[in-house]
Amino acid sequence: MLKTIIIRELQNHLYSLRFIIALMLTLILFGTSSVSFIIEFKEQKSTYEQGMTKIQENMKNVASNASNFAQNINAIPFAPRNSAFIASCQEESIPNTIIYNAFNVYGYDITKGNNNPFIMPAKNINWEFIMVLLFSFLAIIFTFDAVAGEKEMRTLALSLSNPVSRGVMLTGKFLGTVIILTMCVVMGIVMSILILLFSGQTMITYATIAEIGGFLLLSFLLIACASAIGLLTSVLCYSANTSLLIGLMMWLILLFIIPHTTLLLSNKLFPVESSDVITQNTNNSRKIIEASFPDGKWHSESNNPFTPDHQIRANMQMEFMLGEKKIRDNWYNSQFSQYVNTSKMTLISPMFIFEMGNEHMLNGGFQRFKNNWDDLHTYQGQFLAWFKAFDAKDPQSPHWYNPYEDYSTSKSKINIDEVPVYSESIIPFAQRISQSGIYIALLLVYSTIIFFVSFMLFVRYDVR
Amino acid sequence: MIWHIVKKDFLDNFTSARFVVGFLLCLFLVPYTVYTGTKVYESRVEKYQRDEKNANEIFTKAQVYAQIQPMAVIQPSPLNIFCKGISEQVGSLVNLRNNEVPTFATGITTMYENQFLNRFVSLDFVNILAIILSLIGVFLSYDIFSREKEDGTLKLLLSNHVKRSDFFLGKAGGILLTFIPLLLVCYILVFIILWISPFVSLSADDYARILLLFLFSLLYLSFFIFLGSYISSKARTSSTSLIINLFIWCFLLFLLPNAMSYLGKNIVKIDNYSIVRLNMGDLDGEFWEKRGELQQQVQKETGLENHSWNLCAGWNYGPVLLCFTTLDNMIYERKMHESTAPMVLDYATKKWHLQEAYLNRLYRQQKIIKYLSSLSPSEVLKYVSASLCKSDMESHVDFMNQARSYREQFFNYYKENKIFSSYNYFSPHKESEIPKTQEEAVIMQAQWRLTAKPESTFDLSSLGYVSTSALPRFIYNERGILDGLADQLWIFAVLIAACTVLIWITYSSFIKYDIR
Repeated sequence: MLKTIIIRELQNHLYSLRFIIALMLTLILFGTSSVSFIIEFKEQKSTYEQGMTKIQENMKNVASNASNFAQNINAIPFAPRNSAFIASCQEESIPNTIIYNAFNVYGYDITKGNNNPFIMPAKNINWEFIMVLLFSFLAIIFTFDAVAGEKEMRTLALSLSNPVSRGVMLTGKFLGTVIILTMCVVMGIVMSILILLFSGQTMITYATIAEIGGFLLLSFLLIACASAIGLLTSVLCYSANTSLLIGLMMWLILLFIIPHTTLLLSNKLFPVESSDVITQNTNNSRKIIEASFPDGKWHSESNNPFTPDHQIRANMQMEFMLGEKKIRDNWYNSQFSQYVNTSKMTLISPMFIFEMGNEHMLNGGFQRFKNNWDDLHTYQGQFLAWFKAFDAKDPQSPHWYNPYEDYSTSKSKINIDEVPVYSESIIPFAQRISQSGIYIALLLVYSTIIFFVSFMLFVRYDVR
Repeated sequence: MIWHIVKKDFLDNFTSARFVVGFLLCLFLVPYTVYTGTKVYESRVEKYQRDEKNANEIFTKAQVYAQIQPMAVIQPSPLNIFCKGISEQVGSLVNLRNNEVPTFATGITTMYENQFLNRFVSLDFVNILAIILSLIGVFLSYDIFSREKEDGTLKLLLSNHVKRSDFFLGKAGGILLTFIPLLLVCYILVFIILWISPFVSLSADDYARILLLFLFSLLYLSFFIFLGSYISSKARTSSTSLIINLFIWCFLLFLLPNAMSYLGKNIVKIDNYSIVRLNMGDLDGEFWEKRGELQQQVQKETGLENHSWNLCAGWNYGPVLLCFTTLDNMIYERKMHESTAPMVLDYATKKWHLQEAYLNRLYRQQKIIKYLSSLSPSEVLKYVSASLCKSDMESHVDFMNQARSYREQFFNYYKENKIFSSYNYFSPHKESEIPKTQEEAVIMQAQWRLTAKPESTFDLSSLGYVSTSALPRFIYNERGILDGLADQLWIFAVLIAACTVLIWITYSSFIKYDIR
């Protein structure tokens, strides 16, 4: 009987106007997403390579003085991601550049890149955008009159007068919608992949196929969750129009209002110091440190690195840097915690759970940033060790390490090929999918609970 | 007759479940978003007050002229609570340095400084209007004619002495009349929250802008009402009309703006800003080479190969706040500053050409995207609202242009009054106070420490401040309402044209409809 109901629902959907429009929109959007990715990825890769070449040139210019080379502040941007056609993970709007030198990882920033700050914010058209915006909407459109429509047309009483269990009927309607929408997604994905393959710009590797599989699983669960919401409103309401209105309102609340609310609450529940306070604390720390150093600490002589005052100055500058680093690292960690806690609060929204699941699976967004942040700290230690070893060989250097000035360390020319190079680590897919497991489980739980509530209400519904 | 139909439809809509649900949602969402908007505005006002104080202190606490790098600060507008536009993407503070004409403003204009929170959606009053009220408009208008066709009441009605035009006008009028109290309630709620907030104070100009925003909101809603009416007049059943209306609504509000933004970015491509910075860095490299040559020249003139500073508290292409240093070193540094400072300004002008070209492309891209997005009424509402609420690109560009003009005026004052050539440009000491030998310098510094008892090495406040009363200050002149609206005239006209076309085709469709 369940199979019969599912087939009936599938047939009803396939011949409906909403399916035709949905399929057209799906194919257009998936096609557009692939074309836009091909063009943008090529550009981003080109500008990234240009930028890295310029950075290398800049490093070669500074390599004539080892101290300046070690002290030179570098801003390392993240490379464009091959899997961005699946989801951008908002990497363009969160910090995507880390600032460091041999002595310290100073902080992070959002590179303007190709972004135009004068344009009102718009989302990239990628698979995730299509799922979050279009398919969650379609799920409501396909389910709003599943029960309420039958109540209005008085066919529900007729259907239930047959030997059909209510649970089977509801499950059939639910599965029918989920299957038809999943079919649309699969068709869209296939079209998108074909465009990517024919373009020759993107490599579809085994890892990419695994990522697509993971995305499909998350999409299936998002569709199931949104369909369950639509079904719930349909069960609750007597009129299909009211059901649709309530369903759409819930969609708007989950998509926009909840993230907006958690953003507002984040500052109250997880407060972070302002930059003015951090600057004030840093200045106070500097004053205390400076007061503890003897006279001559600011004296300098450009022609004699072994001037004793240079050692005092170097030690003081190092203390300044370490003092500021402690304050700033605490501040950065509090920002990371604020973001993570705000994300946890936003997990009320299934759309956000879907986005988080993608972020973990693709190692994008904040996950990518955090991995790079931690790895760069390790690299900075290696870079500093290399510089100290280089400096130790120079008899012209008194080896008093100063993070800001070249008064008391080697000014010799370095061979840039000998310098350790930083490269972003690749996280294995198995590890990534296990990290997104919690989000897969959450979507499953949400869908189950919402469907169960619909089921209980439907079972109790009085047809008379 | 029209009035009877208007009254009947108004009462039907007003008491319908769909209107009540939508009204209750507005009742919750509008105060909520405006309340959050006032909190953001309050934090921006507090930040502005701190920034303004810092901007004034630059003049009042300067001990040497080289320390004065003015700041231009723009006061946040309470109208940003209605529409934040691009105000949270651009800064409110411009540092006017000698070595660079400012490209962008800086400063945090959101309530949160954590850049990772950019990931989350932030809504304002105009967003809510655009989404919720248009949805209610669709729900009230999708069955305006199709329901009457389905119920068979249209035949009955038109078989009486009721002109089709009267019926059409009555129906349209009924829905529009339903929205007026809804919109009025939304705006009244907004005003109540604004009046309660101690930080918000509205001027007559602000009230005029809000009135225009109200009228434009009505025009925006009319688009969706007439769109719904047209589809209703064409569709056989109400459910078909509803599905088509909703797809169009979703397409116009969410899909089209993103698609047009993407298209605009591909029509006018912009360079990566880091490339622009790196090219500016090439000019900086050229500057440092020239400065190196200049340094050698000055060393020959003064006979001083290496410097020796006893106390230097800053740097601006040369030592700043240079104290207790011997006369020969001071003469050297004065000659260096005299030549270097104008060279810094020249190179800033050269770098500006690269920045200007980059900015022009940003402006062009924004304009292309704006014109393409005018196909979506919600985007037209946002652009016009941003213009009325002073949070559009044109308002920001006007502020930046005024800040740049002020910078030029400020440093021209330095040039005309030969400030770069004076000792006071980089030292608090008068020429007669400068020690001639190192022994004199050390004694002078020791005596100063005994008498002034500075809190730290760089606490030089006892050495006095320079006079800044004659220096030009930044004053921002705001744009008028008409200037702002003139920028949006074209897209405004597109929406009016779209509404007019929709009214006409709906009317024609209904007049020609065969009732049999």
